[in-house]
Amino acid sequence: MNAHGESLFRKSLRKLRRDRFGMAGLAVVGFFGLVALGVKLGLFCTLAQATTPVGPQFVRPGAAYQRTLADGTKAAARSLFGTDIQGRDVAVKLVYSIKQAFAIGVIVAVLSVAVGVVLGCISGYFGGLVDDALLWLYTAINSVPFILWIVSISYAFGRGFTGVVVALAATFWVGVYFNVRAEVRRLKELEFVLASESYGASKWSIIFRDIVPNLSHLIFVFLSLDFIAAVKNEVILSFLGLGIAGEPSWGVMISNARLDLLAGKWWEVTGATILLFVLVMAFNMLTDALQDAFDPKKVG
Amino acid sequence: MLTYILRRTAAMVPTLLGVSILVFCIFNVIGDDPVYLYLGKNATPAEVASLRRELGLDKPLPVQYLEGMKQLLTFDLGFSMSAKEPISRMFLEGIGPSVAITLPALALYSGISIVLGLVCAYWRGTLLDKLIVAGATVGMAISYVAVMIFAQYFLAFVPNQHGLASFPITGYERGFFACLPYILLPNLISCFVALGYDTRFFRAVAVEEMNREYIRTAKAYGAGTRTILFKHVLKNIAIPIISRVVVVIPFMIAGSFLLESFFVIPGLGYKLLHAIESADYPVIKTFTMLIALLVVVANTVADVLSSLVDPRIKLS
Repeated sequence: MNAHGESLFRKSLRKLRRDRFGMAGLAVVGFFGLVALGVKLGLFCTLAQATTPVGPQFVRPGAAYQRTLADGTKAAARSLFGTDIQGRDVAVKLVYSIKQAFAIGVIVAVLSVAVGVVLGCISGYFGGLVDDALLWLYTAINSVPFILWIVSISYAFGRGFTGVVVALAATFWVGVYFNVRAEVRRLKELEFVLASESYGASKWSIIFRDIVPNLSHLIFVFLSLDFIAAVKNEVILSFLGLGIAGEPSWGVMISNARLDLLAGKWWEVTGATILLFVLVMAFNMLTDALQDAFDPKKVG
Repeated sequence: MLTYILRRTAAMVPTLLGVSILVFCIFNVIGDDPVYLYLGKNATPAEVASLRRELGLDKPLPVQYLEGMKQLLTFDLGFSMSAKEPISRMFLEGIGPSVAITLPALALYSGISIVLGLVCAYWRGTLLDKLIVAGATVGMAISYVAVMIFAQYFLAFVPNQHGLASFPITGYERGFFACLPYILLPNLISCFVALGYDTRFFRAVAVEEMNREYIRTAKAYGAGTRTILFKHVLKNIAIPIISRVVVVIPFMIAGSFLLESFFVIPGLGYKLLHAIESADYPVIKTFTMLIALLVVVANTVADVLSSLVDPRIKLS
């Protein structure tokens, strides 16, 4: 029971803070996020740095080489993580790609959750013909493998950042929608919603003031889930030749450098794989903790 | 039973209608003009006009949609633009390799992960359980693409370089026995990738089942581990197992895209991607629609199957 008047949300946060794996995941995600922010603000590893050659091709990690500086002069340097086939610094590309991953992950997660929550609320609260129509759309999208939608939409939009984001968000919202719809249908029969209705609160006020705050657990979990799914699918799309064009990203690095691996040039594909793994692993741990902490059935 | 099957089949119609409208919108309304994509920048207006007429793109959109549906229903699917091959033959030829690289893996990882899930649930909280869960979590975080690249490198490329007999690096041959060496590694890879997800799923299902009171009763009566796990728990989690297999069909199709393009296996995914690369509009549209159709039918079959297994599902 809730003896001290502590809200469910605070209780969940307290539970989340006690989850060691979840907190470790959050710390790693936070670190990656700071790096992404730094790149975005142009503090280090800018797009120009990530796309300009700095030396000969395929310098091994840790090897000494003549580095071309920004003003065109050369200086002896020790390579941090090698250079790629065009002599670009792999370490810079890897860090720049953190920003790419966050850009795709955040935009896709926010878009898909926003669309899913709004449509789910409309569908669940109003019911009727709108509900039938949206549910039909959901069934149609959901009964086909997402990869098929993602591939066809990003093909239709043309290769590039926008195509990837639109394709992923247009597909991922359905999962959010269906869960939100079910939760709204349950919530709207509860006393606090009936109370608001009885003193004449408007429908939109009920949805946004009474119902949406009670969806926070779903929103957190789906933001996290969709972020991971977006980052992983960017790699798949890039591999299939439908990903980001013109800028480095982990997906582009992995798929471009896969032939280099056969020639013994392991660093580019390995570096991108490891960073991707660490980010996804941390996010998975965070999602598990969020699910445990925010599941209303488990918060006692 | 028959009425149930008929009802489920009838329920497919609106879904398929929705899918076909969406696919049509994506390619004909949102998408760039396929004619320009195919002909490139240097096409003359006369060429553009003639190709438009050939593809039926000069007609109004509703007419285009209805004609597309008519083609699908009669399985008269037209020809590909690049190779002038009948699309129906391309599709039928692609099914074999796609199934060969995914179906054995499905059986393998489902079996392994069900056993692992049961083991975890029975010895819940012990070191063994924690190790399996940790392994599954790590496995889930590795990118499919990375698994393919490194598996090919370490299991096929490196051993071949040292003169050891190993998997072929890429390629495919038709025929039941001829294809065997080529499908081993792709199956192994999709098995590895799916194992983490499935183990965690079946563990959760089995844990829930282990907490039920009849299990406590069975334990109190002195039933052995094996009896409890395989006689009681496994029978009761049969429904989630069947529905899980349907959930992973999309996963298999994603795998077929990735594995086929990486290992150069002429399955459905490979052909579709090839069509995308050459902007072969009729092939892309028809393949998308047909794969969607297959999945919707498979979903319905699974629904009917689980109703056969579970007497509690109402048939009326």
